[in-house]
Amino acid sequence: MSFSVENLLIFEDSKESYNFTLTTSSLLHIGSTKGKTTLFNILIGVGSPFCGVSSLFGKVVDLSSSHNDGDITLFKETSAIFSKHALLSNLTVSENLELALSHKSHEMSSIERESIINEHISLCGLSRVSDKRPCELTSSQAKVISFIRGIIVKPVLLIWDDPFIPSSPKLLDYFKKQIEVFKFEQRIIIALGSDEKVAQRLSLNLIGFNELRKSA
Amino acid sequence: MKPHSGGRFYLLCYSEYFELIQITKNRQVAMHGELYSSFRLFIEELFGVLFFGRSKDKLNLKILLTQIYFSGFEALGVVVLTALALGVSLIWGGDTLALNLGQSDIFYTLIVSGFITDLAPVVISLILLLRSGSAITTELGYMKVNQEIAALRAMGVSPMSYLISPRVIGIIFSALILSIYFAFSGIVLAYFCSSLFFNLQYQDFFRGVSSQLTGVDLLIMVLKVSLSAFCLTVICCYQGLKVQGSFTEIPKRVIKALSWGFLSIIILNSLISVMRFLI
Repeated sequence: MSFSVENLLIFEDSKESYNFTLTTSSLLHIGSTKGKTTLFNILIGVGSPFCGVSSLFGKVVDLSSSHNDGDITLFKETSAIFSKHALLSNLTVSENLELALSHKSHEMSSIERESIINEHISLCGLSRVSDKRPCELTSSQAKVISFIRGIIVKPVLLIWDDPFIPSSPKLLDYFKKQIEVFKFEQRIIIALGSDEKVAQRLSLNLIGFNELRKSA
Repeated sequence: MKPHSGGRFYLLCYSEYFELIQITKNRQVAMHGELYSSFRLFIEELFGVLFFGRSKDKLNLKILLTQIYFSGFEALGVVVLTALALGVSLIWGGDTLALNLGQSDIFYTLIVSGFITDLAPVVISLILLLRSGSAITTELGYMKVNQEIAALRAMGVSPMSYLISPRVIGIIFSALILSIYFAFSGIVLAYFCSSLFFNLQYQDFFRGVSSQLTGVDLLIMVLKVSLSAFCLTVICCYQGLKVQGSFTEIPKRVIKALSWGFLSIIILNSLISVMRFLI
């Protein structure tokens, strides 16, 4: 299981390109305003780099140049957690989670899906918000729900923009357990963040993003 | 300073300016992702999903039904009131003209033309453009800025099959329902006005209308209404998805969607009318 980036030049005026392969869950440490979200968009395939490719198991991850639904199949294996949470505003919390699950696991029955969703929501102590819409949530609640949406589908690769340390010990415990499951099942988390403490608290490898670049 | 060196200086400024625009453009593409780089690609994928079953996802029934409810059901009041308002002036003017010319057939031709073949599709499409088209562009633009569309794509859900195709089908279906209501309320109003002011009998009125109404008229109405609804929805969805990263772009896209939608409705309806006349 690997995720690699070859000769990635984010902008036309970039001076350095990036080359790396990740096989374990890691936090890529990128300073703030250094193009973290841009890189995130490129890695999840919704943004295009100026040149270079990112690939998952040898398959190129690039949705931006494709206009065919068939090419989306690769994304059935991946998942993303957005810094702006990006929950669908017209759906409730449980509907948001249901949407993610139903598109990734077609064979799962609705009862099974519902029990998985309820389990995760109650583990986070957010059962009372399951019928609320994203606009009714606090920012931290929305971020936690976004985290659940990312991990609930059991992706092979999870890309996490701006990871955070939850303030409540119960939530921190839940986050750690989920990350442990990823490691145990040899799945990969790539977190893009500017806070080094996150790597330590969530047991992720810390990699300085600047060390991965070379002159273009 | 010599004038020509000043000219060179400006030339340099311009070239740097365009270079800067190009770099900014590349940055924007990288930051937000160009979902459909051209209108042609957007249409190609839409046709692929709608007619060639290219999508693996099922049609989103919830969005389809919501769209029909908002566009087809909630707009009923506006459509009926518009039919009544337009109908009164059409009948009054038409009847006076028919009496002056001594040709009652003109009156019935006007009713068929106004409530079925010519005026109805334009009015219905404009109501849909103003009510639903602007809402669609705003909603999709808002979703784009909030990264909801990026989240859908990252989940492996095609925005085309999840968001766009149910809206296109919903608006076409709503347009057909609304045009039936428009025609029905207009013709009923025409009968009441005619019987009230001109003592026209029930049998005479409906015989006159049916003598002017043919299957081709109904076909033309269905064709005009469906194609206009398709065009306006496609334009509004495309403009909504073209919003990049800022909320302030949404009103600009709404204006573009409404302008292009309006033009497309007028041109399309005129073309079909001309083609019918020629054939």
